[in-house]
Amino acid sequence: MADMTLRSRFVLAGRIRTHYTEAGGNGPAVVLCHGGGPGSSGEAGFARIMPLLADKFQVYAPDGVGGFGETDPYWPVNEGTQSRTDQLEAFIDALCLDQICLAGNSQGAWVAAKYALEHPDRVRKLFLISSLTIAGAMGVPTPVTEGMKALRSYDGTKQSMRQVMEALVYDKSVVTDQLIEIRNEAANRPGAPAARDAFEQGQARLAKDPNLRLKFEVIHTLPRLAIPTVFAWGEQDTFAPPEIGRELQKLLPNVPFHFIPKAGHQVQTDQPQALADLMLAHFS
Amino acid sequence: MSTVLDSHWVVVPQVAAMRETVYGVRTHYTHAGRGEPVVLVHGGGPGSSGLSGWANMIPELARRYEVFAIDLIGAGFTDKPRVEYSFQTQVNHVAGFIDTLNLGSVRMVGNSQGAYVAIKYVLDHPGRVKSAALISTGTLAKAMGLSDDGKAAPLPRFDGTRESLESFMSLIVNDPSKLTKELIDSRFEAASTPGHREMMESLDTYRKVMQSDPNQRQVYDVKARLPMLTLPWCMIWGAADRTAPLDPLGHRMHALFPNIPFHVVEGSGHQVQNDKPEECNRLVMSFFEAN
Repeated sequence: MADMTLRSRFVLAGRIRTHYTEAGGNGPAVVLCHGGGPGSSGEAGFARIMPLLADKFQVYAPDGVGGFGETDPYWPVNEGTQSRTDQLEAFIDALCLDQICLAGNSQGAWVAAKYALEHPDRVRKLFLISSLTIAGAMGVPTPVTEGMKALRSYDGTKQSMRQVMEALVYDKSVVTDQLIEIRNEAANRPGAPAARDAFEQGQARLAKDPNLRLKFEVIHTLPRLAIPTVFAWGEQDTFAPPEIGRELQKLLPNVPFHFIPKAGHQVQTDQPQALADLMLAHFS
Repeated sequence: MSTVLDSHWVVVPQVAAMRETVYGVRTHYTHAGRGEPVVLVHGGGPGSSGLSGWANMIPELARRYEVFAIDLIGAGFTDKPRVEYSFQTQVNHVAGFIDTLNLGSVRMVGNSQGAYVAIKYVLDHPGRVKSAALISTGTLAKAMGLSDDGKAAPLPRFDGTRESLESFMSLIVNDPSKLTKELIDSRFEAASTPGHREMMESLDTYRKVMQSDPNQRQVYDVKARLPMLTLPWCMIWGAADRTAPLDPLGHRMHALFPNIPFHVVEGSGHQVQNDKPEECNRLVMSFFEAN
């Protein structure tokens, strides 16, 4: 890893061999849930913001089940993002993190929010970043965006990976050849492509099956969550456009929304300092 | 730059004790550095823990390795379930710990009873170890069938008071200036946690059981197996160790394993890593560089 403050580690979380990226010393625990998309992982999602949180907090960014990072890609993901929430529960328990501040980006924001709804006693603060998944689970209509098209057309090549990455960030100059190389290699690890397919099927089942959807929807629960929550959204997000954020804001009147200029879908990658300042203020 | 010693926790999913299995052992460990993994196994005695056992070695090792100083089951801040303990219980806990953190191929250092635990792990899992450095270990000498000829000074019994802990520490560390308030505080805190004395009493019982029960004895015994081991290991022994005396225990171990590097540290007591940290660190580092 380029940044010396980041550590690459593994833990057996429940029965899932889970890889995670760690930073910081003996401070209170912060857990970060990365978004979906090919080649995503804790490190890919949060490498730029983790060092900024590490002075005050012990920061953990686990790689999700479903073919992300170096976590076991063969673990079944029949319930898509709910499978990730179940894994997060096992991870937090395995590391004995009794009280945490929890954050998530995109799909990971849903995972974080769902964990907080299931285990409100374990979460002190919640921080959510640009999430179509939450919008969908709140009943906000979500059109097919440019970013989503890029994500869906990913075919395992470096060229299509570049399209995916450019759709996620505002500052295209961060999408270097080296980053493309790393993410594309991660997306093509043994087991990862099949895990992604299985995850998508699981996610479709979770969101569409009328009975399973009860686990996915948060329309009735999230607005009543009493854990202090903050939402951040990129003003230049082409994957989850800020208009959707503003719709969501109406449904969550108690949650402060911050729309961050010059930021795409991965706000923490485009504006790490601005987002870290918001997070530190909220978590401290 | 001072090394950050992180306090971490992890649940080891299961540990087989003598007669039952404990499911979910909340395990504390001290963590520092980056690089290939080194696991440190502390000794027995009241209040022993990863940090109190290895505080003088961790910063040096952490310059080159990723160091994990585990608090063994029943010790430090790790869970202390009320079960019947054996040394194999500790070996199983170390095995579960290494497995849970997916450490792969490790180097190990053990002191005293912990040196026995470390080398027993090596014998049980040779495919997962690079090398092991063992410091002053009467427990291993006895598992090789050796006798101390009554020359080992009896260890003062911990009765729950700070004074009894201090007299225990004075027997295993010869240089009084090394018995800092910090070290005593940290050991006394761990020694006072519920379940710790019960664990030690259970191990005392186990020592007696082994003498009369050949079935338990064969679990502990390494007389036949250790000579077959070809992985690199070495021994470090305090010349002035009173509880595992160099004469005869160290010398007899050296005679049994003439090809295994055997380092005598002059003036050192039982806890060489705390009594003569510079020399002990130098020996361990150069052994690991070569192995």
